[in-house]
Parts: sequence; C-alpha cells; structure tokens
Amino acid sequence: MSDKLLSNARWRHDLKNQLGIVLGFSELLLQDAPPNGSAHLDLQEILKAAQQAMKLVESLEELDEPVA
Amino acid sequence: MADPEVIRILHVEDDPHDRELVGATLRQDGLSASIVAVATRDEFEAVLGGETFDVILADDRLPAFDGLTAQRIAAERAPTVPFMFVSGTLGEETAVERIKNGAVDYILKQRLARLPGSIRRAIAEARTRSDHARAEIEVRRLNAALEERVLERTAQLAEANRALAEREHALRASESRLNAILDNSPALICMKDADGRYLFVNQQFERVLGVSRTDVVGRTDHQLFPPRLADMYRANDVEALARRSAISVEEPAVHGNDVHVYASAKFPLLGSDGEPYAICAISTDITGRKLAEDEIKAARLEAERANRAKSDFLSRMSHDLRTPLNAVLGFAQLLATDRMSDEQLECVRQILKGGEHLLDLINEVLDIARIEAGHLSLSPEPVEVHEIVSHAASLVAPLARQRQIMVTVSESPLARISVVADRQRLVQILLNLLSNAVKYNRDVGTVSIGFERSSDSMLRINVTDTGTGISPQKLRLLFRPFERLGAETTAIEGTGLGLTLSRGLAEAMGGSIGVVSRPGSGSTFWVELRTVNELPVDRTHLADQGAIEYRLGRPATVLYIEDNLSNVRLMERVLGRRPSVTLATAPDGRRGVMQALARRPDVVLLDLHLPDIPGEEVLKQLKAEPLLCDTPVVVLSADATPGQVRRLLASGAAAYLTKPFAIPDVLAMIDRMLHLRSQAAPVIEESDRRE
Repeated sequence: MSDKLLSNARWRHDLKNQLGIVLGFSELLLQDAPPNGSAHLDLQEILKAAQQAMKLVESLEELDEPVA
Repeated sequence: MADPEVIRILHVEDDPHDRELVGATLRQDGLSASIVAVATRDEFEAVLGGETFDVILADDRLPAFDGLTAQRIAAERAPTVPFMFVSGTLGEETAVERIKNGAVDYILKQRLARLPGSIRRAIAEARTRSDHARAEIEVRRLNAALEERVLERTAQLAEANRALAEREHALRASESRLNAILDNSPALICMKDADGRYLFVNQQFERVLGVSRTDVVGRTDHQLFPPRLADMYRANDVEALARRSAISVEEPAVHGNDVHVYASAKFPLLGSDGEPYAICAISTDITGRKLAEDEIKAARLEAERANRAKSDFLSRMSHDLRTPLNAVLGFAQLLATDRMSDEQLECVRQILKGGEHLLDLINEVLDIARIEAGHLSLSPEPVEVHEIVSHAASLVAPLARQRQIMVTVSESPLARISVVADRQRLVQILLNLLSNAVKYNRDVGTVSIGFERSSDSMLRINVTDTGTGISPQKLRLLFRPFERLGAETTAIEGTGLGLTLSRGLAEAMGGSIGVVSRPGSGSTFWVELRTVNELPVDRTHLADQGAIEYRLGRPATVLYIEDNLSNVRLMERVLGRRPSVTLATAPDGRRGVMQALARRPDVVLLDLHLPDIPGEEVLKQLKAEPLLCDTPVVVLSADATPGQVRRLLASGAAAYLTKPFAIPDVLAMIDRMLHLRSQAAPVIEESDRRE
C-alpha cells in the first residue's frame, strides 16, 4: 500500500497545495520586505526550499507514469 | 494245606447233625469256615440279602424248602457265588439236571470227604471267573476310554486342521493385501538383506528405475547403480542397521537423464533375537517440493530485496522532502521573531502551518509504510492512562476553545490504570482522535473522554463527540487512507491519513481501534490497549534535560558539518542568539574532520547525509582522533531509524536531534553541551582552581 500511497495522486495534490500556500505567502511577504534586510534573505531561503520541494513532488509524478 | 482266609459258607440244611457233620468235615480238612445255616426260604432270602458268601451249600429236600428253589433264588440274587448240592438222596439224573442248571457240584452225604476239595475248587474257579470278569470289564472299560480318546483326538486334529487352514488362508489374504499395498504404493519400496542384496522391490521401484524384480533380487546397489549413488545408499543402509532404528534421509536417484530427490525412510527388520536381518526403504519423490522450496526461497529473497529497495526509496524520499521543509520551517520561525505587522505575522503563520502540514503528510505516509513493512520501532512502557489522556486533551484545548467546545476527561478509577504503549505514539493516536472529535463537532459541543474495561486485560479509551455522526455505509470507509468522507470540500483541515495511521499504530502496540456512531447525535471513537498492573515509570532523568542555558561569556566554537546551505544559514541565524559562540562550517565529511582538527571546536554538529562519506563514518573518524575524542558530537538528521540512533549513540555521539528542529531545542542542546564541557574543564585546569 505504501507504493500506492507514494504514488497517490491525492497525496501529491495535497503536498503541492500546501507548497503553493507556502510559496504564495512567502512571495507576498517578500514584496514588502526591504531588499537588504534579514527578512528578505530569510524569505528567499524559504522560497528556494519550497521550490525545491515542489520539484521533488513533480519528479515523483514522472516516476509514477511508466508504472501506471 | 491251610487256607489263610475264612471261607464264608451259607448252608441250607434243617438237620443239626448234617450241619455239624459238614462243619466238622471242613475243620478236619483244615478249612476255616464261618457257616451260616438256614432252613427256610425266608431265612435264606434274608441272609442272602444281608451278607456275601464264598459258596452256598444246599440239601435237596427240606421240610419247608427245597434245593431247586434255593438254586433259582441264588442264581438271581448272587449269580457269581458257586452253588453246590449236599444230599443223601439225589439220583444221578437229578444230579445232572442240577449241574446243568448251574450248580458247581453235587456231593452225596455218604461221600462228604469230597466236600472240602470241591469247595476249594469251586471258590478258585469262582475267583478265576470273577478275575476274568473283572479283567473283561477292565478291558471293556479301557476299550471304551481308548475309543473316547481316539474320538477326542480326532476332533482335536480336525480342529487343528481347520485352524491351520484358516491361518493359512488369513496369511495368504494378509500377504496378498500387503502385496497389493506395496505394489500400489506411489513410493519406491525395497527390502535388502543385511549384506545389501535385494530381497524385494515393489512395482513402483521397477517402473521408476526401469528395472525388473527378477533382475534386481539377489543383486546389490553397486551392481545396479552408479558407484557414488550406491555408496550413499549403502552408507545409509548401514547406518540404519547399526542404529537398529529408522532413519530419514534424502537420497538422489537417476531417472534416465534426470536426477530426482527422494525422502527415504530406512528401517531395519529385526529377528526374534533382536538382530537385524534385513533393511527396508520407503522412498518418496520430493523433487517437486524441493524445486518449489527453491522457488519460494528465491521469491523471498526477491521480496526482501524489493522491500529493501522500497524502504531505501522511502528513506531517500523522506530525506529529500524533509530537507527543504526543514529550511522553510526554520526560516519561518526566524521571521516570526522579527518585528512585523499583524498582517505580515499572519502570513508567516500560514507559512508555518503549511510547512507543518507538509511534514505531517510526509511523516504519516512514512509511518504507514513503516508499519506495513514491519519496520516501525516502538518503545512500549507502562503509561498511566489519565496522565496521557490529560496531556493530549491539553494539546487540543486551544483548538477546542476557538469553537467553544468543552473537552472533559472522566475521573473514573479506571483512568488510574496503566496500559502498555509507546508514550509518543499513544499521544499521536489520542491527538488524532481528539482533534477529529473537535474538528467534526458542532460549535459549543462537547468531547468527552471515558474509560471502560473491554476485557480482563484490555482497557478502552472512548472519545465521544456531539457531531453529526457517521452513516453505517461511510463507517466502513473511515480507516482508509485519504478517505475524508467529503471533508476535503469543507474548511476542515486534515491529511486524510490520521485514522489509517492511528489504526496501524494501535495494532502495532497490540491494541485496536474502532468507532460506534449514531447519526444525528455523534460518534465514539475508541482505542483499546493491553493493561499492566505495576507502574514503574521513572521519569526523573527527564527533569534534568531542561534547558541549562550556557550563560558563561566564555568564547566557544561550534563546528557544523553540513552540505545543505540553507541549513547552514539557518544555524548561523540560530547561533546569532549566542554572541559568544562562533560557528565554523564544513560542507563534507573529509573537510569536517580537517576543520575539527584545525579548530578544536567545543561542540560538533554533524549531519548524517554528506556528499562524500556517511555521517556515521565521520563520527567514527572524529572519535578515533586523540585530540577530538572528548569533543561532544551532536548528530542531526531527518530520518535516522531508532536502530541507527542507538548505533550512533553507541559509537560515541553525545546526542541526536531530529530535523526539522525547533530553535529552542537546538539552543538548549548546545547550551547543555557547552555547560557540561565548562564543568569538565576544571579537571584539565585543576592547578588554576586550587586555592
């Protein structure tokens, strides 16, 4: 079942959804952050990490296709 | 001539002179006699009925009786007693007639001198006659007995013959039955003498090995089979013979070009002296089973390999996803400490919540996968139900308060019972049930937690809500993964994995989970666990794990060996809170060890996943350096298994922290390490401290 769970579309959908929320709010905050402040740097880190996670989730989908 | 015995004489005579004369004649002759004299028929009959006599003498003519009548009576009553006439008047003709009638003699009174001799002769003759008669009777008796014995013996012989025939018949039946069994057996059956010469083989033996009984009998294995096989068969036979009991062995056999494997039962046949005289073997072809076993073994190895691959994949996935989420949460935590507007703070909270939800999604899937693979590691211990339930209830209290839902815990004495559970995992289950009970409740509802004994050894914790309840059709779907029963279209949050995971956890702890629902009035979710009687919970060691803040202004160095730059950045920001601490970093294991040697840090933080060498190996190298072996090494990882953690601690790691870590935890850990080190320092610098 764990294979099914990992390849479960809803699970991936939920992951992407939540990552979307993280990305959205981070971008929103980034617009207001002073360019050279520490918050700006922190937000960039958050965005970078969330994008990386998003890529991983998408790569899981590709991994899934030949099996299906 | 003297007769030793007294002759008993019955004398029929009325004349006393004659009586006396007879007596005197006999006495004179030396015959001793007892004489009973009678004169009438009545007397004669009476005396004859009462006594026995050797001889009867009778006068022929008496006044009240006569000799002829007496002779007739005597012939009837005492036929074996010699009867003799003694008379003075009898003519020759009468005498002849009397003798014809059975009298033994006729003696004239005038010639009485003949009497003793005649009596003797008569008695002797009577004796002979009587002996003859006895002998004859004896012969007859013997003959009869003999005849009887012959009959008896004949009957016995007939019976014996019949029994023999029956036995023979039974034996033949038994033998043909045995032959039928032997010949129809699917097993190869053979019998050899103690020297290994075949005595018998069954039809299957002939058929399978392509030999005929007549060719085999009398020969040995070495004359019939390839030498190495024959050696093996003979060795097994010899072993069974030596043991005098059955042995089970596997023996290969050649069928044409194929090699088959047989399971053979070999047992000696013992004679009445207890010595084996033959060896019998029953062999079953197990080639198919052996092949199947090989296949099963191969399949199991393949499954294990696939399982390992799967768990490797899960482990990698978990790490790959948790690393960026770790960064998201870390930086979001830092942001939250910045000064910002409420609106901005709300955005940060959304980011934190998103990150936590993502971690839940990943952790829950991984936990379910671990439970399925049997890799979930639990630390079962006695846990007091009331304590853990109250703890879980306090955790959902904020969520419940938002919707004015009251959470109550029953004060039943049952709550004081302890159950066997992994503390952390039980909290996880209870939180899942309680947060569901709050989330799916109505506003201003209640969540009540109660307890009941479901059996002698099981305690049930009931979590009852006042929600809308669940229809029986939907109840079945509840514990399926991602099944949110339509809640995905509502504002209620959840991963859809909570109940699946809770069920798996409860079962892994030897318990179970279930639900009872009344649509319209609410549901009761329950978890049931095994109870314990004793309460050996010693938690004192947890108390001193509280943060001992490192407040000394003494400069300290922390080396962080980590390849992920986000994590490094995060750690820099975290340690920014401890101005006296300098952070040194190394991007891989090799440079980590070099940096450690160069800078002699006070604490090393070590990531397990490094691009060059595994973290465990780095730990060993650090511990092997004499200059560094006392330096505490804290291992940081997102996915170490409990076994790995144990190994790491055994290899000398000072502590282990799971990513994503909470900032206060990291600070507390570093404070504690530096504090311990500053306490250890005086040992080295003892002379400075001396007063």
